[in-house]
Amino acid sequence: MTPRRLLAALAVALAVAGAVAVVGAFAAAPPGPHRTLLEAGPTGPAAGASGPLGRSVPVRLDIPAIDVHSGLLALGLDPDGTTEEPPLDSPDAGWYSHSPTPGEIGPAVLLGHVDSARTGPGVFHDLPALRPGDEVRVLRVDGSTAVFAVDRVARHPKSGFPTAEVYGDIPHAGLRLITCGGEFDRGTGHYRDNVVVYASAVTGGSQA
Amino acid sequence: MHPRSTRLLAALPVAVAAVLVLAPAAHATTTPQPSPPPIEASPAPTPIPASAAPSPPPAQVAPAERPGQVSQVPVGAPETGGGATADDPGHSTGLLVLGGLGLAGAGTALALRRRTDPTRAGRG
Repeated sequence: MTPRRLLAALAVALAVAGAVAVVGAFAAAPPGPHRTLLEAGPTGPAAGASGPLGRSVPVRLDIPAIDVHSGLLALGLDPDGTTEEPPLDSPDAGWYSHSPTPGEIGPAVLLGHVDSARTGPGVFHDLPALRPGDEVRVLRVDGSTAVFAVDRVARHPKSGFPTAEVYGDIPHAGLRLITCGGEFDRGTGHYRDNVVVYASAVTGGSQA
Repeated sequence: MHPRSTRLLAALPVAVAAVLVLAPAAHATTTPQPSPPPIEASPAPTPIPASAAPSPPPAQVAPAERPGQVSQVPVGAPETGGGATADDPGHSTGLLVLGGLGLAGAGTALALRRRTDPTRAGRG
């Protein structure tokens, strides 16, 4: 191969690699604020809520509106008192095991990643796109399914996280879906906000 | 009656009484007496606490709070955003640089093709 042909082949290869890289760079970009869709909706239990369920560990989460179909890990507390988070490479969300189980009276808390540089969009990447009334289903280990309706989606700065609003007692079976959002702080390597979906049970559950 | 006899008679009850009184005493000195039963040692009376100061009233016990529905409330905000690896600064930048190089390579390839294209030779 002549040097000129070799140079031409190298240039073509670089062009192909470059095109792939450009596409990849835009695909891997974290969601910016303009991509979030935060809807203010009614609060409190949805109409038609039935009685609460007993305690049963959640095992699966389905949110049809954003095509989320995930297993659930049990999460505790880290030594510093913050919530444990699912492994970055895990495709699953997690249930905060010091909160009620979904369907019990109280705020059941589920956490999931918004994205990861290695694995791309996380299980809760599209959480901000949920709208009031969207359905969230949680399968429990006893075979029952707790069904919730989204009340509202909110974004809170981490510096002013509303602990009482998220973890405080409520008089009905509720659900909190939490992920990160807002602007990404390159200095700390973290997003500046949390996105929290507040939902309420619309049916106590049904045996599978 | 002889006065002397009268005096004796008068002294007789006194003598009898003296005998009656003294006889047990004399008997006691010669006959060992059973030891009296030991006196039960009565428990010492508990000392009255010298509590001059009245004991403080029991602390006001707060009504038992209903345990929260979330048994342990975490500290701070959850870090569920992919954290430190969510947006490695070198990651996207590197991809963009590679893309730029690729575009430059594509331009070079086009330029080379034009220079070697015999149909374009002599044009201009």
